[in-house]
Amino acid sequence: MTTIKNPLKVYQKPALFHPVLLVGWQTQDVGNVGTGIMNYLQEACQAKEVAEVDPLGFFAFEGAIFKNNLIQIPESKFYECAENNLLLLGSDEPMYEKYNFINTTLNYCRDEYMVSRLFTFNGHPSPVTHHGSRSIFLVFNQLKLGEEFPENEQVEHVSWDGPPAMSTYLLWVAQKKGISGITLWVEVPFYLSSIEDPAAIKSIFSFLNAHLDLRIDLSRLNQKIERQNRLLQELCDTNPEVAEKMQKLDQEEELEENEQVFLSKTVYEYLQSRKQ
Amino acid sequence: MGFVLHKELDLEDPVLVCSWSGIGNIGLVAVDNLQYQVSAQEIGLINPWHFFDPRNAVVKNGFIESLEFPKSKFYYQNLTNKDSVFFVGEEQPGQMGKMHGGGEKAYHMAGLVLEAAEKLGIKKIYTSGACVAAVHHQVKPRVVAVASSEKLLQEVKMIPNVYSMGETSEEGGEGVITGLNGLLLAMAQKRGLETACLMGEIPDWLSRAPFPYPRASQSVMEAFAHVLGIDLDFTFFEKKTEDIDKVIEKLYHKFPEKVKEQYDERKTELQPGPITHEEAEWMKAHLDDFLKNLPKSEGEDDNDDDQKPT
Repeated sequence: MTTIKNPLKVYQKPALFHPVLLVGWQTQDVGNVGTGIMNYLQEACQAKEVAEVDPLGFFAFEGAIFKNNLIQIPESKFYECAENNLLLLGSDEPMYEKYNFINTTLNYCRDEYMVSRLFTFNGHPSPVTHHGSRSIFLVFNQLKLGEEFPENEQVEHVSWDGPPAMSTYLLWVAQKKGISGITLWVEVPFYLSSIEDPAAIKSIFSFLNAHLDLRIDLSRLNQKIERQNRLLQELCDTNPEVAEKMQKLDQEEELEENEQVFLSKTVYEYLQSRKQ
Repeated sequence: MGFVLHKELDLEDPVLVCSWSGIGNIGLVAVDNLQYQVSAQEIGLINPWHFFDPRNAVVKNGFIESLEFPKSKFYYQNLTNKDSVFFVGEEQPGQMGKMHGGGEKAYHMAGLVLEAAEKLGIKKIYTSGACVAAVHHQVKPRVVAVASSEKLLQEVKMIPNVYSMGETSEEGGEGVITGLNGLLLAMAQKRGLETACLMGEIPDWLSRAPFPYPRASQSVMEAFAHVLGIDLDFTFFEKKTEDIDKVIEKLYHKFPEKVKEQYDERKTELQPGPITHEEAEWMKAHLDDFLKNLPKSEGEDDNDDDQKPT
């Protein structure tokens, strides 16, 4: 694998001081949570692109991936959100040289912007329906953060023993650099994993609005939620099998694997067909 | 990128015995069990994050307690007045599903091991690994040696059950030691250090098996016991060998009769048997099919258990 010496391309000098870093991963983005949050913020804040990480050395370049007929190129871009003093990083998860990638991005954030806190976001496929609210599971890299962000009805401190997610690795390295970090894992009904779950995105924004005093206008998100819920109701009204599976989930009954696959496929195809 | 030595040590003419993961994990199991049996203390490590991705995270009530990486550690023990340092590498950088590592990162890792070795005053290094050979699984594996000098080669050949590559192979004394177990030797020799590699034989058709080959690890450990002038307890190995033997025998009994007959002739010949290259390739190619039909509890790679006797 080629490792390039200085993978960061900086387009302008930092105009923020001590911003909070928000990181949204674009790879295997359950419920489109990472991408959705980044896109929403970039639009709401009229964010400016300020730097990017050269993908060479971090991703395989053996061809071109396409999604929805559009060619995709891996990217890792920084944006400044002056209005809310936020530094945004929207990035594909690197396949190679993960430590080098994390180290480079965090050094840039810490040294150029004096970043001392970061949040990352991930969707977590869950056996819940779109009817209810989306709980958030927290992972953090300093013990004091457990007190600063205590558990409540919506927020839970998670325990885990297994392969680490990219967000966990990022937080672990950040801790060594004196940057406090929190990952928000938001519940996404599993049948919405491959499409956007605006309610999950709203759940994250509600948390950030409360803790960072962001005051992000969520009216567009509310409209999306309303529309999606309406379409899903239509689907339930016209497809009794879907309605039956949703009811089971609402009653916290487990679905068999084939039932889960059926529900995911049917919902995906229906929502894609009704895309605006 | 770096290494950390936890303490300053003033050693007298120390040797380094090291190994990485590889075919049958022969060297890794041997050296890790060796350091454990002699109660060696951990004296240093190579910082893993420049070479490996983390493989496990422990999060308790939201707090990231730890991230676990494959270990690359140094151990030390004074054995019958011989200062002995051990290095155990659970994984080779750049491995990516292959049996051995390579590339820029492997080169850097070897360089760090040698830097640490020089800091400790080491002038002689042994590595260990597998020698893929046309041998029979029921025959005690030999240990095959290559060395940086004729003098050292003759020294190691004095050890029971150790032979030079030239004595055991059709190719004479020629071949390749792949991955870090070989790379380290070459780089060490360039720095003027004495080096030797002791490799336990593994039957060719088992070289891709997803489980360790403790028979050969035991042969290697016996050889190192001679080098270091110590006695070792092999009770742990007897149990492990028994377990793995059961799996291998099941696979062996699936061979067609004609192949089995010709393969069995290897039992009586020290030189490569009459089995043809095509037949050896046939066995390797069918290994996956044989393993598919094994019950799940058998044949699973349990290297972590192998490293510590229970």
